[in-house]
Amino acid sequence: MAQIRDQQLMPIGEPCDPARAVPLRVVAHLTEGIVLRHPLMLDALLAWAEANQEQSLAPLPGERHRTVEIPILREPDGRFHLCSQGFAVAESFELRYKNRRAPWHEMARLGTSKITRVHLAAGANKSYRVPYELQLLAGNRIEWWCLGDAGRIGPLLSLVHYLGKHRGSGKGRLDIHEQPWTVEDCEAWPGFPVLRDAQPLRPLPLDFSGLSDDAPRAYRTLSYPYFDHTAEEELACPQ
Amino acid sequence: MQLTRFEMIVRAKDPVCHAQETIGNQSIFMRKSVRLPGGARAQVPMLSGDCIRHQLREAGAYGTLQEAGILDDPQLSEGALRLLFNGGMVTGKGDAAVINLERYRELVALFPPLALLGGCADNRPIQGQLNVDEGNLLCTEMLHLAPTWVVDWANENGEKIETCRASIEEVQRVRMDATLQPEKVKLLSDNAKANVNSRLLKSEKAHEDADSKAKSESKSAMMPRTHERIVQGSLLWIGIEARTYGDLEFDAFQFTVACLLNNFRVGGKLGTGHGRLEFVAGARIHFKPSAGTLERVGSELAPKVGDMYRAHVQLRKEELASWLRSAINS
Repeated sequence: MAQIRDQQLMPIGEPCDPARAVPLRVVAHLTEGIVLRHPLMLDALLAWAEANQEQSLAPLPGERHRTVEIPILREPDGRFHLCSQGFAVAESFELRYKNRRAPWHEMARLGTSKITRVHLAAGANKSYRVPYELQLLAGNRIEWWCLGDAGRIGPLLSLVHYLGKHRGSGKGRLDIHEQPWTVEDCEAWPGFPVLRDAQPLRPLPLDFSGLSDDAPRAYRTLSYPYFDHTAEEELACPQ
Repeated sequence: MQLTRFEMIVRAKDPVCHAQETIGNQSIFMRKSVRLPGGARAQVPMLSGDCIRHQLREAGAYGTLQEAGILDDPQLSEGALRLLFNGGMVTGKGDAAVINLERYRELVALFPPLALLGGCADNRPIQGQLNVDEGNLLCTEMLHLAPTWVVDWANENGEKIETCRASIEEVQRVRMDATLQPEKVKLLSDNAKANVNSRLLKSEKAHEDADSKAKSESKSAMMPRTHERIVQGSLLWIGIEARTYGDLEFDAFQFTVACLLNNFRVGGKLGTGHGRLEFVAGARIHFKPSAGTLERVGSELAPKVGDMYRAHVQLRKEELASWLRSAINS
């Protein structure tokens, strides 16, 4: 039993070799609008690509999960990876809706005679129409900076063809026919890639070296999985 | 893991209605904002990814039920229906399904399209492995975003590409009021005939007196309304992409796409000659890390694909029927 548990908690992927880590600029080229609630994190995308190859289910918030190693350097204390959050400028917005209608027609035709009534206004079969906002980005691109191994980042990102929410219905599609991703060397600056002018380029611990005292603060998750709100803490965040 | 993408050009065999909203008695076709080269924006008609995805879910479900011989006497539970046609739900009470994770895994092994399209298990939604793109009109506004092979195909086949405005028309339909037709009024009972005549007289008087309140109260039930639709014969391209983990899952994906193409209908007003789409040309792309290989496909996308999946369903049809009729009911 203990052996199975240890196997289940074995890390996925290989950590970044410091000798191969160089300053990188990563760009995603989109062809469609994208639905974003929070800025996209590059380390989360790479972790998804690694975990996905092993068909690993996404953990539930608060659940213990397997460590996923990615080809981006960790900060000296190992709490998070040295990459910025995604930066993009939204040029315009569109209101869209997600609909669900109960399959009452199929219930009538294919269902057992035990199904006698379908209540569409409440309960399990309630229909819904949920609004969401689609963003159209300037230049149709999102940018990140990181310290990592370009030779491993490129192949992993090539598995990612859609970004953001509502990917199942085509939102956030990358330009897979031309160039979905650009991973290129770039020039580093002081604090690269998580600080610029002492301001954070991603959520950072308040004690992070070189961070300005007046950096905005918010409750965020420090490392992936970022949807785990039970791990939220007070961090310095980009404006 | 295999990442596979199908791209297809489809032709509207019928006009297509896919409304975004209704203003008064006018239904507006769904449009999206598209950034043109240079930065200007245009509103271009489109089919939502959700509507194509739902058709794919239905096609896969019906195809599998038919292969398993369940359609002759379905008797499915409410939970099974919701799982097959809506992807299930996160929580439920009574007869509403609660699929626990173990059962979900068993059902995915029995019915791989569920893994592709995603579904709910007890306390968590499980994401699908399928991305369905929006249906894009082959028009000048979308040309810079169209895959190269789609543009090449249009050029090779002499297809004239016009602005999207040429692909949208507005039509009017009228729901008639039978009580305005004398030959139908003759069918009424004496009492009902008297009521109808009284309303007509009241309407006439209201018109003569220019009494708008009385006019409104006595107006007929005739309802003219207009709707926008995609012109018959228009070309669209769509894309469907899936991550599959094994030959059976890949075959189930091909089977589901083939089922969709066999009877591809989208949008509203299906009962009145709208919404049929016809496969014209296609491409399949197998992705490998950092590269993709594109091949043109045609007849492989016909229902002859899915032999392995059909054999799987035939082999486990009793088990599948038992699951769908009883097990997803607790």
